[in-house]
Amino acid sequence: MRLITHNMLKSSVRGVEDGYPLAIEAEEVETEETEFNQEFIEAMVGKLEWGAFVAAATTLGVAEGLPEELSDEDKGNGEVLQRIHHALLEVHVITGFLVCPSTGRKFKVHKGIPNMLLHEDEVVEDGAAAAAAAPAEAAAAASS
Amino acid sequence: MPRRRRHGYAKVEGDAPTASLYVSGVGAALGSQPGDVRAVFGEYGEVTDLEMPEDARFLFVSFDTAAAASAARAALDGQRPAALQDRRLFIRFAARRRGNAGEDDAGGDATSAAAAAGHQPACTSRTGYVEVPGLRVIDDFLSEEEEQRLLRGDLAESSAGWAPGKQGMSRRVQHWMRSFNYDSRKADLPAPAPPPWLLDLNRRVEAALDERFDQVTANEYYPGQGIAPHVDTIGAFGDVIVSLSLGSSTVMDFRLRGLQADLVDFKAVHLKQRSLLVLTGEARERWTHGISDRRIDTIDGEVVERGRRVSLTFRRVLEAGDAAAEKTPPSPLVSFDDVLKTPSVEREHVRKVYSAIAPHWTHTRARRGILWPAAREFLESRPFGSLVLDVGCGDGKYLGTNNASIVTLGVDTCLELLEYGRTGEHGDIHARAQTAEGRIRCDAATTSRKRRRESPGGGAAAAEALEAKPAVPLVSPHEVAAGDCVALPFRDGAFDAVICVAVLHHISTRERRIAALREFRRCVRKGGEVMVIVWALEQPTTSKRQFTEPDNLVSWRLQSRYAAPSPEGGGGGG
Repeated sequence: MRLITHNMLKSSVRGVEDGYPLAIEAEEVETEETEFNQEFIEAMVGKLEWGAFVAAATTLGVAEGLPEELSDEDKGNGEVLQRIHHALLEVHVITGFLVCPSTGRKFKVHKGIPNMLLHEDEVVEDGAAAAAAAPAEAAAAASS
Repeated sequence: MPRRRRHGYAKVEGDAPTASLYVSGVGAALGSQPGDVRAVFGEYGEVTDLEMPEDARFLFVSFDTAAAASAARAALDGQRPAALQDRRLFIRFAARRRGNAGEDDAGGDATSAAAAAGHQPACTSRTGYVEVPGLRVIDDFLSEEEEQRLLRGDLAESSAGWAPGKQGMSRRVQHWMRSFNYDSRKADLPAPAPPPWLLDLNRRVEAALDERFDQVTANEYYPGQGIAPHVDTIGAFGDVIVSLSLGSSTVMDFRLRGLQADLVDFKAVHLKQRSLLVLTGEARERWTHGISDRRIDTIDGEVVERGRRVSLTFRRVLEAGDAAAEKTPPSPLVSFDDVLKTPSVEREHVRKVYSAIAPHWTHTRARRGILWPAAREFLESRPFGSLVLDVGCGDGKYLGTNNASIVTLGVDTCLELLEYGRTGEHGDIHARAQTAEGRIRCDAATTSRKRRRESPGGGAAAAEALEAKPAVPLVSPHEVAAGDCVALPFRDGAFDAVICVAVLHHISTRERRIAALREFRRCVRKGGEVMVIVWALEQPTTSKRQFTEPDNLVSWRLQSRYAAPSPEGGGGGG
């Protein structure tokens, strides 16, 4: 899973208002070089939720050279675009978890594929689902 | 919605022969020449009429006999006559347009007032399988003489007092026994006493249904007039409501709305002249009924013009003391909970099956580079730098299409297929798809292909002539995720385009399909495009696959080499 995909992913659990962006708990990460195409990166940049992208890149340790806020000047800067290219397209999370910021629910990433499929009880919006989510949140808070 | 031009003919569903044919694959918009069409079809009988609508990719051919039309259809359906630029023909029977019952189709050109309407609505046969609980239609409730007596005599006399234009309504209305108050939406105003003929009619209706009615409303509809969808006020009227149609048939639309007023289901019902419509239970309380303000309807494949129609609606008024008067409208029937749970039929017959056949599937699909041409064209036409979502991507065979310009993310429920999709284990299918062999299999009718067929050199020379597509993908391995199309795990407006190929027919209910379509729209940005491709109910008669119902189970014959090893130990020989 590259960060370009991560930037689009959210939790689709019913009743969860703020399932984006997902936090990354990476175990196995690979880097694979791919040809830099400046025009392409310029086009992609406009589609990103920038804050989520920088946060994810920081987690993976590839945020060097990425501005906190993206200015118009940055968008035309070849250096910056190369950094973006690297973080966006060349880093792959092979194994790990994506964690919902609202409920702490963990989605597994395996063989580079994030599994966003829900369990039956997550598909129904009711008290049971919310109650099930609460302990996970408490556990996440306790461990941090 | 664009209005389609009216033609003198319309395609007819079913295989009962007529003397006319609807032929698609040829037409004025495709540059087809009338002379060529007449020559090809003239082999089967005398062509008496050829209608080639402007800007259309279809046309109508008429013969002197139905037998000739049948022969032409049998010989040419699914074929690619050389004389028609090798275009594949799709042929069905067609019929001339006709007016309402009582009007004669005297032949000659079909010119009528309805030509001004300019659009053709969806046919009632498309929703024939939809069930509305509590809806019943009793045909031929009156004889023709009785109907004429009512229209020409009794109703004509009383219609002098009909009130036009109440509250912006254009149609005329009359009430008896109680008058309907459009402000309170109850029948609490005084109205004229019923004349003897109406009392007789009321008694007949009461006897037929074993119910009591004490309020009657007459509505007059001229072609182009309708009534907005509504539910008759619950708590004001009793549970059974009946309506008699006089003078003309019409189509009444029933709609079921869900939690967020979204359309969950729809049925178009043909109300014939002299029929009695009975609404009770859910048809009366949950579904809205309405009549669109059209001049024509499409009924069982035929276009029917409306005439002046008068409806008489019989109801029972609820008094203050009546228990039923306390009734409030029921809450919407379908909630999100029902829609998002995966039904067992999908678990058993879709998800488990794909997991089991994944290696065989990818071997027969992606490895051979078989792509639906429309899907490929859609992806190849996306602007540079587009981010596209492929819903139900399976083994990812589309993910590399146009990969020099766009990035396509794939989502699917089958983890086994997704693994193929990510690694592209089936090889560089897109290079293969571009070869001569791949293109012929893809069935694209392009001029370059035509040239290839005609050149004696065959494959090798032609392959060189093809434009080379860049083989180095922009993003490889492909990006895929596991997710459910009815609840996509993506933020709103994330994509420039969404494509969904051969997936929706795996979703078992209308509500879930609608939920999936809404998800596609949610995930695409404002102004983005969505393409959805599914198998058609209509298949060429030459195809080995024929469907008579919209929903089917189609079996997959698993080759033994792809089957999982037997659990009974014995590492079997070979």
